[in-house]
Amino acid sequence: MNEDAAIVNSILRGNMHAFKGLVDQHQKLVLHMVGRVLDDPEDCEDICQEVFIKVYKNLGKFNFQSKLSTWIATIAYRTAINHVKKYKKKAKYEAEEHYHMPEAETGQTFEKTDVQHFIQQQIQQLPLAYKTVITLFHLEEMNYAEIMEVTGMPEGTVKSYLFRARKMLKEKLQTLMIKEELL
Amino acid sequence: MKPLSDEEIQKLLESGKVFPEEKLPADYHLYQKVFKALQAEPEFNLPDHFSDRVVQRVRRQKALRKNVSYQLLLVLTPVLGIILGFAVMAYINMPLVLRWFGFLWQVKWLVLACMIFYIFIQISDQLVKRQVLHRSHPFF
Repeated sequence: MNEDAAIVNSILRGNMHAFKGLVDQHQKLVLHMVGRVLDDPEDCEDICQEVFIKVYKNLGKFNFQSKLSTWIATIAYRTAINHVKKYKKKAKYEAEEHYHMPEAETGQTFEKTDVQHFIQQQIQQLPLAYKTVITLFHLEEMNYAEIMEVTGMPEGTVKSYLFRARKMLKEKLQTLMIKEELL
Repeated sequence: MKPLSDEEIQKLLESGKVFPEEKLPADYHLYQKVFKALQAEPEFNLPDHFSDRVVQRVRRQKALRKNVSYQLLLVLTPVLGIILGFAVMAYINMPLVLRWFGFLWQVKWLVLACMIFYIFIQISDQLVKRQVLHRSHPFF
């Protein structure tokens, strides 16, 4: 937290070198959040830039009640969600209770597609809320409290989405493996 | 022994505890693969020098804000000066102020045209600057 305070104070004093350091340090976090929420990778850089500009403009309002990374992730999440709501109204924003993932492409053979690549593809098919929760938990190694802060979801919802998302991915992988065995 | 449920397998993998291999259900290995993939870096990328671009964009926006404040000051100062001048003159010599107003009323279209022309020049200047910058840095 002291390190965060030092960086924030330095940027607020006008040190652009410190701001560049902050961008370098958190760009992966922002990219993961934005990349998982947006379907179109072409928008990714633009939205990531927008996130950091918002971070710069609102840095004075950061109250050190949470980690700087959690605060930045919150901005990234909200910016990406707003972009989706604004431009991609048909996007699967809500984590539908009875959401079913589309079938994996037939003809994909297990030899051709490695497991990791297959699962990464399936993650992109998940509803936004599921993608966000699994990204924050597994990739950013955030705890439930931090995920709640970023997404504004209650703890029960976070746990439930996390469980369902993993189960869906497991089922997709299972289906693929069964198909492979049958072929 | 009752087989482990999906929830129990997920909790087991989350905790990182080791379970005897012979007692593991078939789904455990599937979940293991899912967990491994979830921790892998996604295939998104940002260009090199991304942070430089962000810093440049922030600097540009700051400069633009400063410029807008300067332009506002440039317009507001003479306007306030004129209002103050008229107020002082009205205090000293009211008929003179009325004559001035009469003159300004006669040339009102000229005054309005000058103001519009000035604003047009300022806006065009900003647009040209933005276009030039956009050509050299497409993300601006």
